[in-house]
Amino acid sequence: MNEALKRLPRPAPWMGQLALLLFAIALPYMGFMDRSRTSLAVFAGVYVMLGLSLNIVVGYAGLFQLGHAAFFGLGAYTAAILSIEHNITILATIPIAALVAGGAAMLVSKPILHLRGDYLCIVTIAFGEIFRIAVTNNAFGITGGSNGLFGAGRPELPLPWLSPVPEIVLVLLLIGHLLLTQRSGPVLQWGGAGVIALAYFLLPPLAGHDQVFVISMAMGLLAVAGVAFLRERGLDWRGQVIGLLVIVILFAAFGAARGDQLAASIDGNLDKYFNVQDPVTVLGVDVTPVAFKRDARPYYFLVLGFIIVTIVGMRRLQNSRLGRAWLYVREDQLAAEAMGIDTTQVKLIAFALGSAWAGVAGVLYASRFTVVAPESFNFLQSVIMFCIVVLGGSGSIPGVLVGTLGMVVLPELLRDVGPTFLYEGAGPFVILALILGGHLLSARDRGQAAVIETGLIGAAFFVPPLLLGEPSLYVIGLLMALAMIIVLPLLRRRTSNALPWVAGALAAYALVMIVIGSQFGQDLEREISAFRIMDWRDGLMGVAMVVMMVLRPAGIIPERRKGIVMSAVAEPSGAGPAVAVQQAT
Amino acid sequence: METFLQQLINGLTIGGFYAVVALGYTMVYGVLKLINFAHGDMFMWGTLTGWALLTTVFASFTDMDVIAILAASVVVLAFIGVMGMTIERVAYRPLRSAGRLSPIISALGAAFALQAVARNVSDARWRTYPEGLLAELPNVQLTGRVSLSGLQVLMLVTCAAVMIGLYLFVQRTRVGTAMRAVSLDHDVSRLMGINVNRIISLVFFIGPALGGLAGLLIGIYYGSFNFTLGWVFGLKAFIAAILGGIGNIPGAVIGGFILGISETMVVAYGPDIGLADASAWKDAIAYVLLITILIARPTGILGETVAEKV
Amino acid sequence: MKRILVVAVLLSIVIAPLGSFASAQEGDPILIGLQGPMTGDYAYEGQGFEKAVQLLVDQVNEEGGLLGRPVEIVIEDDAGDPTQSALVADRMVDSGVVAVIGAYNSTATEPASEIYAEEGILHITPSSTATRLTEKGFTQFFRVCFLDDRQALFAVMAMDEVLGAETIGILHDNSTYAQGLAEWTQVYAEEAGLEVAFFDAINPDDQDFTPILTNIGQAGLDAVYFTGYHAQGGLLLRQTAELGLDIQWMMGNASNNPEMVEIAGVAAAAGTFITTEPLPQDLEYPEAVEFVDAFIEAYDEPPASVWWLLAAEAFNVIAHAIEETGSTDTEVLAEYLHNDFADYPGLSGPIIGFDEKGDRLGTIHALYEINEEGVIAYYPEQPQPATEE
Repeated sequence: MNEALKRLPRPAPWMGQLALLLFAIALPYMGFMDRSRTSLAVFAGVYVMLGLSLNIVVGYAGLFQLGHAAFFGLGAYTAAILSIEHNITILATIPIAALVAGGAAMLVSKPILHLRGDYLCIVTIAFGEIFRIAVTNNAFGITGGSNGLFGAGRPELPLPWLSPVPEIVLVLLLIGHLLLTQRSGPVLQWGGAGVIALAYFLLPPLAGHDQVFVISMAMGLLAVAGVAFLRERGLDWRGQVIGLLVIVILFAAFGAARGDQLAASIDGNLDKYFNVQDPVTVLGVDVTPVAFKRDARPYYFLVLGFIIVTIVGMRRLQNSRLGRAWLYVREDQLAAEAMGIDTTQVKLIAFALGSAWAGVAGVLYASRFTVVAPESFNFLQSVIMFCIVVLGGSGSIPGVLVGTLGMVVLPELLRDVGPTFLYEGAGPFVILALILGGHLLSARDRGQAAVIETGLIGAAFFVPPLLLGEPSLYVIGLLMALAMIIVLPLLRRRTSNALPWVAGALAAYALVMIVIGSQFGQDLEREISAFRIMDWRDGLMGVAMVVMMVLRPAGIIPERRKGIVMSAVAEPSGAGPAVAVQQAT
Repeated sequence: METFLQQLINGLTIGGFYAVVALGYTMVYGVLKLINFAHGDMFMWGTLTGWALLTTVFASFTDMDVIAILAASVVVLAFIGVMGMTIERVAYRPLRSAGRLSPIISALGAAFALQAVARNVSDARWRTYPEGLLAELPNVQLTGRVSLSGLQVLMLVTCAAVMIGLYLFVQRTRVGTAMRAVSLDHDVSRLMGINVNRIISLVFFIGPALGGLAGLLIGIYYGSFNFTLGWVFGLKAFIAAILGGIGNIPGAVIGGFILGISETMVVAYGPDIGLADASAWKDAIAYVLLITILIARPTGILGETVAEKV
Repeated sequence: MKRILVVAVLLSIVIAPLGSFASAQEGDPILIGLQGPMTGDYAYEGQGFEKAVQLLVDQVNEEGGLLGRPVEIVIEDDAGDPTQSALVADRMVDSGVVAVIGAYNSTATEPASEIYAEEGILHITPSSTATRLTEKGFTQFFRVCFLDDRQALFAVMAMDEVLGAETIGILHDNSTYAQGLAEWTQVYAEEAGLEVAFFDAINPDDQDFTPILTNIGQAGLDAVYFTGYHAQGGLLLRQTAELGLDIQWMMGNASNNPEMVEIAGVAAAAGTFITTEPLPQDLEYPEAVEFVDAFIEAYDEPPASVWWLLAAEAFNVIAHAIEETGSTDTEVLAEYLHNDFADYPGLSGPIIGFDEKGDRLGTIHALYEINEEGVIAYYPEQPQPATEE
């Protein structure tokens, strides 16, 4: 490892998390996030939820689950049926969907949990397929057959500034604050609560508009989270009080000074993203719901909210009694049993919890896409979810994020890539730079020879196309560069000095290219422009899966946990899941 | 009775194919404890290669279809066998000590890649084998209306020969003994002087090669295929292997026939017991059967109950 | 270090394509979207859509484009999947298309149609026949194909009048389209007094249908109507012959594809009936003949499926509407198609017009038979005048 790099101060992990959170909040406002990309982000968000839920089963408890799509589908169908047939507003179906999916998981997994790894795997595949066949065949006459169900409702929320919504939100905020500040002394606990409540109710009249309750809510949330954050950073109660006051005063000043603009902008956004429905009276209280329009941005924040709640929950779960029991069961079931852990019970909870959460993701899916059809819950979807978890790093939360990026976002973005990007504009340079950079890094210890090799490959890459003015030759050049990088380490094992070989091979390559280029350049270009990257999308994905696993068997961002030290000893094959747990930094 | 006989023949034919493909899963599992998800697609590649050969290189052999098919079989066996070995070398060997999740992803990746190439090679269309291959084989008349076509007999005989041959090879030869040793314990086998990597390579040659042969037979028998064949058929064969007890060669055969026949019987007699659209539900019933058997016998019908290694 | 590298590579791969967005198309060309399954199980049909539409676009551009502006098609792949279809529809909206042709299967058309309706983009599906698609009150959604129930009625009449069947069977493949057609056929058959003695579905992923064929053979049916796709149709015919069963098959228009005969073998396919829109070569309309000739010239094969033709038809309808109204505004175009568009010489026969729901008026289904040479030929005896003028 580079010494200079080592000595640089490492940023604390919370800074990375905070940056990520801010990035996620700012993302939909960035210039390149057009309608379809925001829509894709929502879709990816649902898969993050699915990945996180499957992570409980596969990552924490070490159980094979290749039928997760069934529970996702169960949630989506439950939401769609309740919404279409019984007119229940879709967000209200979340607990029901979670119960149905979790309950079903409990019911079906109870008799099969004693099965060993691979047998469990096939049984879960079987459950997934049974679900798909059942909904395709219109089981119980409620699933709409292969057409699926259409017209699930969009999410509806009560208008946030109509009583009693602000009051309820405040009560929830205060409960959160009181719970989180239990050990911070009465000044912060009760005084802080008073300040928050006061500012919360003063802000709208100060600004002169009821709409500003939205800002009050944001302030409350920020205040509670900010105090918790400061305490975790090690500040004492005085520091926390100051932080709280800063937040409250900033908001109050801002709200009072810009009340009219705030109200106008809230009204504008309401108009743009929401439909205000007819007033509904529940128990004599006026609850006017606003429904999401089709625009993806409100969905984005809805899903983001769910993801944040999920991640916070998962992290607490990981370090709980149950989380440690899962870990124990995963690493060594017999020993876990010997320690008095009810392994069946523990596994059952993992299954039920993971599936229930997949059901919640199903509700979000149904509310976003409004069509729920069997194809969306087939075996391939289960495979994708499984890949998200394992590819990213089984048991690791950031791994799920990276896995989703790789399995869901990247393939969609490939749509934007035309065949000519390989040889037009900066395309070839970027790709070559990546390849050669990778090569240089992997051969760091051989200094000069590696630099010369890299230079030679680069030269062979650029000379023929530039000489002949035939940019399509870059494509062959890229294949050559890739081949060289794979062959070089093999070659080096046989000879002490590979350089003459490399130079010779590259010179021969350049000659051949010059001949090919002058004779068939046009044909080549036509062939390449007829090439559709979409046709090869899943092929590329497959190759990438193999390569990633070979390079990083434990996933891209492997799980890190404090307190468990297991060196990466190769387990005897067949002795249960042997996920290498690395020592925490 | 005649209908029953006819349906039994239908089921045996399907089951035979499941059984041969299941052998590949079972062999690989035996030595590596790895579910080779790419096996189904390698089997489909057998069909694809056979189609490519019989419609191009051997297309002029129209009068000598037996020779053409034999030649194609040899090429398919070799090609798919080498394909299997290559995949093992590239995608599985580096992961041998990496736990059990990573090889599954790697296998799925290999399956995706194989399928994508096949889709592009076949233009995503249904492809047809030349008409009238082996059409002059005599039929075997069983009863008045029930007969076994020559092709069916050939298929069943080939399937049986492959299975018996493989069983004898594994049980009676030195290499077979080495295979069984490797399946028990890699390290001890190595101490006994067995070249474990070579044995695994061999298994990855034989399993896929047999799968490829089954693919060719399926192409000839059904006359047409598309690139999704491997995924679907592979999943079924995998179930058959598990059903019989994975890692166990007679088990794979038994599993294949049980699955084939029970699927057929569900379709045949489902309507009589009140399941009007039995055909649509057929696969679901096969899965229920699988789950039931596994609940009763957690390691499959012929699977040994191995105490968990610690 | 390695980790930073991996992250950097991933990020650059993710961000690199984003740059391409900066040059969003504005101004000159008229963009028309084509959404279909370019990959996946129906890839063949989607790629056929593309061939057919591209051919016409090239022709139009050679003649100077529409309203003096060149035409460009924006092709998006939905793989026949409803989720991908919704994502694709958003992409269409972003790219600023005037109208969209697609999708192939009803399942994929449904979510997209909702988005296009909300965004006010003219949407014509060439091949999605599920009845409920036009029952949502979308004013800018049209289809140039005919509904499930039209064909079902025609098929029942054909079985009743031409084949003289009394007991029939219906088999579908659990796809949206085939299931819809099968259910409508059942309804009309019962209305017409035919007995539906068999109704079931096959799994289109299967290769072997002998068990269900044996059942069908036992049921003593006068005719069996298969509403699924040509690949399974071919396998069914082939295995019927191999089992030595005597079943009178009739296939829906999704099986109207010469490949079915290829899969089944000529001997096994001969004598099978097909209900379908008339094949292009059987239409004397010069438009149809011209199109088929141009298609053969461009791609060395005739358009293999009706749906390709109807995709081209959809494009012609859009182009015609743009020319006639001189506008690319969806409301104007939709208004025109609903009220003033009539008696257009279509590739699949004259288009009488569209009704208020956006469905194509009339019916032009015809009965075809696969003859001894394996050619799908117009059957001399038709249940009714095949076209209602």
